[in-house]
Amino acid sequence: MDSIEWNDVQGLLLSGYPRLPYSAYVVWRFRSDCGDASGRWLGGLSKRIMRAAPAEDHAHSAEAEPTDIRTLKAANGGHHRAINVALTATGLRKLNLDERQIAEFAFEFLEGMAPRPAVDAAVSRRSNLLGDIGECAPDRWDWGGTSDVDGMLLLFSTGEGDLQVLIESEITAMRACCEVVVSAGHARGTPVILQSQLYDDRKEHFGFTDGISQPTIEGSPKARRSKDRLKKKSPIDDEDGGTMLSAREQRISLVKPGEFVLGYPNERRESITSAVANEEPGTCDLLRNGTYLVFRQLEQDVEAFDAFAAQLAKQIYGNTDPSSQELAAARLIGRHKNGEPLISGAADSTKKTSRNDFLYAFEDGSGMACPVGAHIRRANPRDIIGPDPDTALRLSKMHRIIRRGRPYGPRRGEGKPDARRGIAFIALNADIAGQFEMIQHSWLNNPNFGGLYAGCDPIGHVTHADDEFAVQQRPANLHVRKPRPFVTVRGGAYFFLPGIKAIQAMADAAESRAAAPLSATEESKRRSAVFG
Amino acid sequence: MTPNYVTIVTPLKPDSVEPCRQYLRDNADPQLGQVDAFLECRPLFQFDEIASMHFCSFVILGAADGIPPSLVFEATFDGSRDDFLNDLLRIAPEGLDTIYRQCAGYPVSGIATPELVKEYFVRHDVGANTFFSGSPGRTVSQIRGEGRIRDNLAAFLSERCQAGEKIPGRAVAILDIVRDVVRGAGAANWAEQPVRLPWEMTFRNGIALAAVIAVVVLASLLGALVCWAAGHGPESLHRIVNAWLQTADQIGGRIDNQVTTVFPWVGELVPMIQTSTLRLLSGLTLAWVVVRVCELLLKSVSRDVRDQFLIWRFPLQLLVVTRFALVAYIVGTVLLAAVSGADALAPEGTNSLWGMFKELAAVGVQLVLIGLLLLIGWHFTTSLNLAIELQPLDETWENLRRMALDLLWFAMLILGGIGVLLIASVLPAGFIGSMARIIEPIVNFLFLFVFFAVVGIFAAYAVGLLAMLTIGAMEHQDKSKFDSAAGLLSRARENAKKYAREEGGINRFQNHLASVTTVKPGVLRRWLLRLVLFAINLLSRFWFNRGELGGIPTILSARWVLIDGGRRLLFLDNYGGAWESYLNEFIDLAAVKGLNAIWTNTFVGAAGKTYSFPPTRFLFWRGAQDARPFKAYVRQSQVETIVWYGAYPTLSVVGINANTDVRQALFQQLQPAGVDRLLQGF
Repeated sequence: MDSIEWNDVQGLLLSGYPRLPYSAYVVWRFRSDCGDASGRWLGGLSKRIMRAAPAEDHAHSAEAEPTDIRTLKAANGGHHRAINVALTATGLRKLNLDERQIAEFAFEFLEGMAPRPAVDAAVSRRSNLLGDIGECAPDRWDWGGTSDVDGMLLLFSTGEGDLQVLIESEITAMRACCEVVVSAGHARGTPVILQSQLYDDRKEHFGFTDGISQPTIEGSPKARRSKDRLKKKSPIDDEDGGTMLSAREQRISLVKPGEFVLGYPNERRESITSAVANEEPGTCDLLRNGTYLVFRQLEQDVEAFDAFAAQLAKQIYGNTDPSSQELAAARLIGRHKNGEPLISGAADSTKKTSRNDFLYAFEDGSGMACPVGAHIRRANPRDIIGPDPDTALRLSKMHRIIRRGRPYGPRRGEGKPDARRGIAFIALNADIAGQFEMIQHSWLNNPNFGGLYAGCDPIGHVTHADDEFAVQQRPANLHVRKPRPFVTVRGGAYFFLPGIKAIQAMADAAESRAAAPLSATEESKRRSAVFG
Repeated sequence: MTPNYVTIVTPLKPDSVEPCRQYLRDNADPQLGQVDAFLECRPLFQFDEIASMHFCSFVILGAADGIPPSLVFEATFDGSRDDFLNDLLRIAPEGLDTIYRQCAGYPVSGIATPELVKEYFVRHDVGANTFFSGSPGRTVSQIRGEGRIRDNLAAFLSERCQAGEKIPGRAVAILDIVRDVVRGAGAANWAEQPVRLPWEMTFRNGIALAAVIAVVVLASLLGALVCWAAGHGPESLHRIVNAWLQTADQIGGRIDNQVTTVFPWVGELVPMIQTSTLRLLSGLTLAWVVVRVCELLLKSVSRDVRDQFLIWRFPLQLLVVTRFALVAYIVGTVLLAAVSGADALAPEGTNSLWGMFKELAAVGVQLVLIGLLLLIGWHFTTSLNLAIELQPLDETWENLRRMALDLLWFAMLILGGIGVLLIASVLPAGFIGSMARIIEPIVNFLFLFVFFAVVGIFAAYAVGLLAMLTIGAMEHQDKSKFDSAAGLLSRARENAKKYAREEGGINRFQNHLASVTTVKPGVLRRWLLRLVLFAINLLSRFWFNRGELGGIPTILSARWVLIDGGRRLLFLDNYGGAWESYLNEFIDLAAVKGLNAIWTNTFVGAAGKTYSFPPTRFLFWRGAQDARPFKAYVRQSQVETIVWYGAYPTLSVVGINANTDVRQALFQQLQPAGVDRLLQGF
């Protein structure tokens, strides 16, 4: 297997930038009359983008601003920033690219997260399978539903003040060609610049530590380090603070690179590459080193969640003491608030991170410890959905996502009483239909998940008639009616997170539009000149 | 076997395709219920008034070179076709009349003569070449009734076992309460009756065993035929078998020499057994061990379906056959030695009573020793079996565990054999002699039978290999004849219109897939497809009748039908869940082989080009495992489902079968563990 060109991959894929806790997601669209300005902007932007590994030509230059994760990690003090950029299908179409190359992107990406329903249907198929109906229907969203979105800037910084400076400077840089999308729905009239923050305790608004279980890409620096470490038989933990994977964790969470980076073999041993680029040498493969980015703005109703946890506590434990409520809430998620999984076992208490090397089939097949319908079990069933545990674990690796979500809005008890809070959910995957969407419709929102009969993800946005949460216990299981979802979708879109070279190729294509409008034949000739 | 099915394919007038489609959409397709029912039928087509109908659907197939467009109505139901068609005409006379008037050959008098209409339907019913049901034998009312029982009990128990309620301490007491609830609910008589399942399900293992025996007998006959053709009569064969045993004996002799030089006491240990027998046994054992090691090594290459390729599977299967033959030879050898070994003992001639006693005592001690060893062996096999109950081992250790388990079983078999020999050595000579007269011919026949069977199976595999090579050649030619299915990826947008209804409305939990493909030209292809469909039909009737087809647990009811005189293949399928995960099951589980074997014989036409199913290798491998081209191929072959009705549209196959199990267990005698399992099912 050829090694991954990490220096061409955007940094977000390898890191959630824990050292840059302040972030903003700027949703924009191209101005209709921007001419070649979009190309110039993208070309300039490509040089500022945070990469996963040092660019070859910059490897040893001492720059003021780190542009790759390794230098970012090494940097101490001072203000540091990271910029990433992602485009939607409509954005790509406005860049003067070869139509055949655009057609090679995945259909669900080209169609978008919220396509218009067919003439005789009330709801589009995609909205149906994502569960974006009723309260969560796209026409109620703040953004991404009915409005056109062309792309998103993902900005990260060490400090709140510096983040504002960064937002200002980046918006100024793109002023000539892009405008920030204006919100519809609840936040009508305000520009969509979603600011979020990673707290020190890594907790989201319901109070649970987030982002514990992530797949590790085979061939990534972390996977390599872990493998080397195991071979040398030295202690698992090192100065990185327990980021090494034990042999057991490697079995569970090592996933082939093609599941997250296009152009490399995935779990089915396929590599998704551009046929056009393969046939015409010299053409840039726009897919290579890119990945799809799913963005969902999910609003959380913390009070309703707490109320439900109290009701659950009453029915399981017979009281609503804070400790019982915490335990009941943990049943809904599958982990305690501090991140420890409900599945007990030889959790190493000396480790700084929560235990993540568990499987279900042998440890908790019937769901007595972690209910079958709990959030973490639905979102990542590990080894329970399949004919046997081994096969199930292998199959589940085809449906993993890398999560980069961060909470937005004030934490509970802070801010104005009517303040809105939620999570800016980000999933990175190479196949939206097979990974993000599959997790949504077949696991989270499937009432028949794992042999159940009713109920959806306890913290999902979907509800069915007779929605319930089942707690497996002795002597008989408990079924608790869930009044309504605690999460509402407020916006979202499918983006593509291109490789750096692909961004440069896009910039070149857009810049070449400078000339006066050409006839169709001339244009195709010129385009083949650009790509040939 | 219930359920029954019809697939009525009628030619449609070309200019009525669109009006007919629109009429069906507006008047026949059930809607998402607004009030209490999840699915509400339209007034002109009250499908839910047919109490015996599981599923039905309407599909319109477009015209294809020389074939007019056609209207397809499929239904799955309980009871006879005659009753069903009567019901159908009763609930939708007007609607059916309006549609079928657009079809060629429909009686002019129309619905005024229902008998003629029925006869028209019967004439156009093409049935199915392969039919699969996820819950065979269950009627609609039974599925619904069992679902109700479970739902009610789940709600009851949930309420009853909340914190703060007085809960009986013993699970059995709770079961008694549950039984009272069911009895009190009025459905008592029905629910208490034992579930009657079709005989194919009840005798599933017996049928499979009979099939294996039949195959071995057939193989043996084939082997005899091959030997006869090669000019070997029974006499010369006896020589071959003996020569073969002799070789084993020689190998064994070498081992024994080695063993006895290193451990001289081994010979002393079993004095009653002739050295030749011992040598023969050692030879056979060594051969067995070698075969088993090879087998495990081949198996452990990978457990991924993607790696189970022809060059690995054929040798593996042949090794398994060889191993079973070796066990048969070992058993036979022991039996022969038991009846002949006694003669060898006689000349020693210890006449004194004391000598007899000493000898008997020695044998007794040895038997007790063997018994003890067997017990120890049993202990270790049990612990080896339990070793993976709580924690699976990695690949290497798992293989070692299996090898250890096999060796233990084998050692126990040999020990048992030695025990038999020991007992035989002290039995009276006369008895042994009469036994010998019975056993010797049987064992000789066994040797011959097994030998012929092995020859037959190897011959069959040789023929199979030739067939595979022929298929491989056809597959190679197809690559130049057809375009690659990867070309269909760019047609996603056009095809999306066909399946807009999936995963929403009444299809939120159950979906319908209708697909039509053209069979590749050539007599060989057509017969191959028929053969595969026939085989899968047998398998789904007699083996895959427990709710899963080759590992896929989501198919409610599916059928494959060859239409237009075998020129096109129609696939109609009711499945649970979403299309994407359903297709993934097809791609990643064992079912991929059957799927490949069927559809590799087909192609689809689009935009003037013909696209083949993703190329398979030797019928079973690759093909659908090229996930993206395969999915594009399915989407291209898909036909819009215009009307779909399901009698229990929110249930899953797993749920239906689990409900039956629950009802079955409710009124049975149960052990405490069984009671716990039953209560956990709610």
